[in-house]
Amino acid sequence: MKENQFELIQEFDRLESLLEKGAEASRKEAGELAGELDVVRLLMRDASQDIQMPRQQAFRDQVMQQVRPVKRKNWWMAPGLAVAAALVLALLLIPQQKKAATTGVIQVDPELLARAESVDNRDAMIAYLEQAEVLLTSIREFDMQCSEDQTDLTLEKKLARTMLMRQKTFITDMDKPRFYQARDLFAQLETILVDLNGLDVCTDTMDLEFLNEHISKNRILSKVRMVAQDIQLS
Amino acid sequence: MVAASQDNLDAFEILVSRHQNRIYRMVRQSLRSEEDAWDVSQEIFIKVYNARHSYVENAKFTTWLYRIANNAIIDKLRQLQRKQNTMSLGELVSEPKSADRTTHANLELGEIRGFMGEALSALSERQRSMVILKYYEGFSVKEIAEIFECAAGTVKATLFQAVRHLKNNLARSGIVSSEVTS
Repeated sequence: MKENQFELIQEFDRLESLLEKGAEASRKEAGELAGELDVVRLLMRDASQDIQMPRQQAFRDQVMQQVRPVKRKNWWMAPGLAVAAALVLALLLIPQQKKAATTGVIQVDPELLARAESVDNRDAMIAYLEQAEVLLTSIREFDMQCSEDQTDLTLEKKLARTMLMRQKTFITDMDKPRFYQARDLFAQLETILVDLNGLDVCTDTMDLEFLNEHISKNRILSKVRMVAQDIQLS
Repeated sequence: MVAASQDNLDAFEILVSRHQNRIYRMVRQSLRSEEDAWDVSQEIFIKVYNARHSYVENAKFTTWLYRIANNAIIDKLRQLQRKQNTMSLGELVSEPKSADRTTHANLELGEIRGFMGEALSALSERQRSMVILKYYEGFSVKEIAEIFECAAGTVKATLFQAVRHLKNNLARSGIVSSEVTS
């Protein structure tokens, strides 16, 4: 290390220890660092000014608008999904074409349809659980403040509503024995979603802490991860 | 971020909402323009989204985010400097406004902002970024070292040099005293 840099580091450390003393550190005590101490205090005063981002919601909407088309393009172009879609179509259409040739009426094999529906529901459950993980983590690490003791839940509430709607798409499958373990978790999640949806956009931080305590006590986040893995492998 | 890196847009939206204020504040401090700060902050989040697959799961997200933010700010500053090549930012500081009062204790916050903004503009890109991260955003020396991918000692030395430059510039404006107190 260069000699000069070593001195600069020492001076910086001295300045930091003077700052740690707070208002007690006098210019006299600072000696030749008095000017630097003044500058850092000025910087800190300048930093204490509250700079709020204007039009926060519009900002977020515009960013999301910019990234959404990219996702859609990728989704349609994802080769795995394209192959899977082609296979499902082939499975559905080929037997029907054979039957149609003999009877003249197109009939869809109900078993095949039920299987396709079941695959769809499984995917919807996995997507739902992924959203649940995002939501629960976001609630646990809340930091968007409306005021000193109120938390901004705009996005969390929006996500909770989307999830409640999504849940309706696969609720019929929940009675199946293979989802026995998941059933309890889904019921717990639904209660949390309804609770969250019922909270104000600017809600008391205490209410959120209470909800977090419930989530943590029942190990819901770990269960979400475990059940998602089980369903994925099923 | 892990969820966002797997194309989960809900997770990404939450991530934007969590960090947008801090990022905007940092950009605003660096560029001193509300409009530019808004645009650059958007660019930062779009860059984060586009680079999501390169995010390493165990890496600290804020370090990664602020590295991207810092690069975007530097790009914008260079672009602005090219536009304003008739009058450099350094020249702005060499013709300082004079403060009526001799000590910073009596200065209004608005006045501090004006003088400090000019003095910060005269620092090098690296010095200015480190000062903003340390004194405005409250990052530790270790965190800044991670963002800049350098040693903690380098951060300390750069920060001290930056503070000394600020002192000299502000002393010329009469905001701080350059006298040595013994």
